[in-house]
Amino acid sequence: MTTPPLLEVQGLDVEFTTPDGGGLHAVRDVSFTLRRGETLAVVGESGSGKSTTALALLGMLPGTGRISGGSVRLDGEDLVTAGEDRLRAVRGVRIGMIFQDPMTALNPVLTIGRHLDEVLRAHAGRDRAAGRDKASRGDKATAGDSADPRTGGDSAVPRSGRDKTAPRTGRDRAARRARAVELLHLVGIPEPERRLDDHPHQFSGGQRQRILIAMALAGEPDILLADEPTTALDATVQDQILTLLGELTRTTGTAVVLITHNMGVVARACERVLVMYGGTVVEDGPTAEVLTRPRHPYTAGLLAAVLRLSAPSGTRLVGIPGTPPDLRLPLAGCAFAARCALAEDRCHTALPPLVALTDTVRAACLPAAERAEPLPPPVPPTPLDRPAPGAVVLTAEGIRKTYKGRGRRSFTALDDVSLSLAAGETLGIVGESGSGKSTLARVLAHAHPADAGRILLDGRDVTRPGRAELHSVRRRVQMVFQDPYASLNPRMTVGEIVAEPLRAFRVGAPEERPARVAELLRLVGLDPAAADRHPRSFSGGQRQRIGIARALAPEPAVLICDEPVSALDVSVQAQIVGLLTDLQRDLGLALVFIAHDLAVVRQVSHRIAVMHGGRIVETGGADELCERPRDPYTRALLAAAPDPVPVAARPSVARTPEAVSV
Amino acid sequence: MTAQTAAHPPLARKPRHPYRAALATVRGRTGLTLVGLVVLAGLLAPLLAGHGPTDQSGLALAPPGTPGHPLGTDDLGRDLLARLLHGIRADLGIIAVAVPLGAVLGCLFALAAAAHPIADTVVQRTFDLILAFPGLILALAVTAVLGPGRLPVILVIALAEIPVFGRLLRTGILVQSGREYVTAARVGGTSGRRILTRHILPNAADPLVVQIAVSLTVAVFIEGAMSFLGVGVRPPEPTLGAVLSQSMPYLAQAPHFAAGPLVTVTALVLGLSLTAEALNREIRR
Amino acid sequence: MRGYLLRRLPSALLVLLVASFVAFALLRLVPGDPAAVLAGPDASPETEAAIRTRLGLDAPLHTQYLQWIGDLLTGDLGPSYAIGGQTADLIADGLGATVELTLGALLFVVVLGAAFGILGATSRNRWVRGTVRALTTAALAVPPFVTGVLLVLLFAVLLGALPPGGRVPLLTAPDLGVQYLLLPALCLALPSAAVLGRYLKDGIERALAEDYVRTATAAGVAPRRLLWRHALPNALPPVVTLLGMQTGHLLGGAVLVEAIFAWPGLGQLAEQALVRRDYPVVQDLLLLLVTVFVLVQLLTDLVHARLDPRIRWE
Repeated sequence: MTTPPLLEVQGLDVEFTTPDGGGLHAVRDVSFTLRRGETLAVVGESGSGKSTTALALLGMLPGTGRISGGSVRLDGEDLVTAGEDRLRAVRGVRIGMIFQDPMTALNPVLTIGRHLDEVLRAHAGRDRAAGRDKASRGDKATAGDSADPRTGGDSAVPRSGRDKTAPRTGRDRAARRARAVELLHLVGIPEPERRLDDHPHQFSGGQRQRILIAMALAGEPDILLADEPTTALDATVQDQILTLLGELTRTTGTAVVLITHNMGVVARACERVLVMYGGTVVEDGPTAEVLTRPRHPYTAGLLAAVLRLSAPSGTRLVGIPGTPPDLRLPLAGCAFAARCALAEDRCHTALPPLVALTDTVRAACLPAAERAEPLPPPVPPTPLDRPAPGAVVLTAEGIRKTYKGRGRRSFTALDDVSLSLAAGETLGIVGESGSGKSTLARVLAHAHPADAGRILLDGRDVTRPGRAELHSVRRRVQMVFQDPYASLNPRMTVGEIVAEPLRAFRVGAPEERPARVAELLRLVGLDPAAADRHPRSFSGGQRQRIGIARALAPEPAVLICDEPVSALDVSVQAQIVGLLTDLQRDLGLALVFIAHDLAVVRQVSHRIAVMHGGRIVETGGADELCERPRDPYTRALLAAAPDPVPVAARPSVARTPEAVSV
Repeated sequence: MTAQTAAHPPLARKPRHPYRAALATVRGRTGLTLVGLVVLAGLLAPLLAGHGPTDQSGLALAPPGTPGHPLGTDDLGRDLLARLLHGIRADLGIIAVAVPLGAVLGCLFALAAAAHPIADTVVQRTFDLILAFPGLILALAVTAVLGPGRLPVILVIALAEIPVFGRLLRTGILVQSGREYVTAARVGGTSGRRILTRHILPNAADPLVVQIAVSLTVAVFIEGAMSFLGVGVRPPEPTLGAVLSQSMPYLAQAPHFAAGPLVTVTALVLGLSLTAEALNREIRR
Repeated sequence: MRGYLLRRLPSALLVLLVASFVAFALLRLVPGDPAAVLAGPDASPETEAAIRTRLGLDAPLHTQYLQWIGDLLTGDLGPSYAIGGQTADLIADGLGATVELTLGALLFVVVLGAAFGILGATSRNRWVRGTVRALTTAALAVPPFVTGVLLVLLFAVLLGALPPGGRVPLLTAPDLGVQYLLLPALCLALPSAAVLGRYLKDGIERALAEDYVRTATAAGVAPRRLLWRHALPNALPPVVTLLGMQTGHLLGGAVLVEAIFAWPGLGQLAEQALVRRDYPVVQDLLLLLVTVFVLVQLLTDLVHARLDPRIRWE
């Protein structure tokens, strides 16, 4: 006899109404099940409907969103038809949730103690009702109890001797406080008694995420929905949070739905994975199986586009061409058909059902259903033939930069940083938030002045250039920004934006500029007709191409790229990285490539510099540094980088958790 | 090279300018219609009135519908329609000069503040000082020196609007100059002057447009209030506030005396507010 | 907290200082000999001389200024030449009336503003939301002299329920006093109540859309508690700042409302003094009003800092 699933989602449809009155079909016929204690990853790119699905489960769709079809059964009870009161009794008690951005998910004017108290208080009133519920559920009593570690002797989760059914009245504020301390202790906040009265802004990002986990677990839910819980965090912190989540849910027997765009996180944390695309489920199966033997072309394409730490320097990946489907349009066939290299005629006209291909794997792909074998493994990254770097163009020596804070505090962003860059070479700079890498980019691009040190361009000292010299320096050194939305003036057309440097540096006659703009747009893979439109009508990846076209306009020798792909989806990342490598080869550019993702940096760079606390802690050849790191911080960074390889198939890496702590 | 990434076709229709979209909403149209009617009445005053605004007839407090006096007459036997229409005209004349004057001066202050930190401090303190005299107290202070009249009214309105526009634009410039596209333009070699005029100002201008509509209602308010306080435009010249203020003692016996300016002022300020709201909603989207 | 006060204090003092210069300069900016202007056209040379001595008009300007400030600080404001009586008494009487009016209006502002804000942001009935929106738009747009006239027409002329103007001090006859206070206070309060209501509505709506409210919702916190314990504490600090600014506007607006409702407050006194060209009184009044305004601002900032832990920590 198989136990019925804890959560069963059948044919879930979610629609939004757009401001102009149209419909947006964000989630289309999504079905999956979750068993008690299971960890399920829901993976997909932005707009795939993964977060919307999670919010729909709890009846918390924002704005105009509504469930237009299907059912969500929790232990047999349909939550779609349940009333708001019933849903509130489910939230936190049966299904807990944590969200992406720990910086905004906590109320800035309430203390941490108040946060936990609010949650505990909300559950206190309903626990008897919920408890009665749970007692009546025979399945849990029989199937669950013997295996439920909560009742076992293992006291990794200290409980204050209270059963969930025990009455908790408003009187025992002190008891709730004690429980709050216990919860903070559980998630690894040091000195919980003292910190209970602190406000959110007094905690680091990682600590805030820990507090949010404590809040989500306060009601001892059966299911934890985690929506991109580590996306806003640095890799080393991400690693710790995933470890914490894993330990807590394992010891409490909580089932986890982990929503992420990061294949590495999937491989690291989940037994089963659900791949979503364009609001539909395209593939579903055990992580080890799906990640190594994908059935759906999208899964395969996504895996091929993910940058792996093991991929050596100077190789290139194939991105998935095109952009995700417009969810406002009705779907005739497979959502992925328009971007699929293996698409057949019927893929465009017939909706592929999600069918079981093996005992454990289901995929929604008509050709795949007829294929017995999984798709062939991705082509290994192809090595590029790139010319050897030429003469040194840019040198920085002993750069310092200090920001004066309010009051007496000041913050040293750059501390004695030195580097050099040759023509045709890519220098990767990797570091976590606050390491000073973005400041370095701005100092090198002369957007901010350095406090001390020297910057040499073609052997000339350009540290503090005069007005005319600054102009000539800028012509040689250009920059690509992280945020493709913020870095383009919304009031200008793309043509005006790209022509702006041409105008500033008086490149060519005014009447030749439109032709030059068209040429630049073609160079970055855009249609020259784009010149007449405003940035808002382009996707993130296309905007980043516009930014690159603008940077290339004055024909610079050095291009400084500050996190050029970190705001983009995985499949688009590969496109942009490929474009930058091609441009470097064709134009002989010297590139400074800044990122927090070591895998990307290794792949594009000749050499890598690792930054930490405003200093360069290690520098070396890209492959050399990744394979034989010397500095403990580099080792910690390498160990924390999640690789999209299932745990079983991964070579063991020595962890040095003491190197960095939250 | 990178052939796989052709740009996608844009979403078909070209979006309208947001201001036009805003004014095409029900709110925007109602607002514009109300304002339009009042402005038209003011412009055509000499044609529509039939009497001079200060001509006295023998009939005091004649009711509406009296032959030759469709809205009746006031306590001195002056035609109320003529006084209303010329009052509108006088009000429009004042606010059309005062608000733009205040707006321009405020913006100049803000631009000066953007030029240098010391100028910024001076400008900020100046604004603080003006704002320390709440609206009508400022009016009292100005008229204490200049005496009542049209010029003090204009001056008070303009003075009150200077810090409003100045702070708005100063904040806008500060916010925009912190945006990444400005850094991008600087790195792209664009000159400081062009960054200000082509990049920062167009993006900081939206709130100013809304504020002009709001400030026009404030101007109507200040004009009326000064008339009520007896420090406005000198009688017998009519303004909306002056006619209304004169009607106060006769509210019980001749409510029609107050009716014209009440309806007109309400229509004008409601129209302006609706327009401002419509613009604001569209801009915030 | 003390550090915050110390940081805010200098700029407040600076504004006060310059405001006192402005008020002081007014009398000296009026064309003609101040003593002659003050005494009026029919006064004897003796009266003029007395005024001259009293104001020290023959002394250098800085001496005059210091003397004036000294007089203010000791409360010795001298006689009012045009109105009659001691200036200090006139101001004290007016101040009582104006404070009564302003506080009455403030009560309306808080009650109406809170009702507008909370109903507008949280009511599920679209008619309620629509009515609130229409009311706020009207109250915000229509100037007090129009609402004043309308209120008098409706409540005094048509219904005869309330007096059209005048004042009975609230402390001497509470029941009658309230009747006299009601209309002017409401008239004065309406625009500020609308501003406050709209601000509060926006603040609550914004806070309810924040991630932390989503966090609390997902943890099962009840909607009522979400509003009162999670959204309101965030929406409140800016509203308190606004309330402080609106108190200043009430002071300014009181001048007008007093004229409409014949309320014998500082505004009426100022108007009288202006018409009769009693500049010393105008000068004292101006400085007094500005001082109150600046103090209210300072108090507001402190309360704001109290409510928002982030400011204290900066």
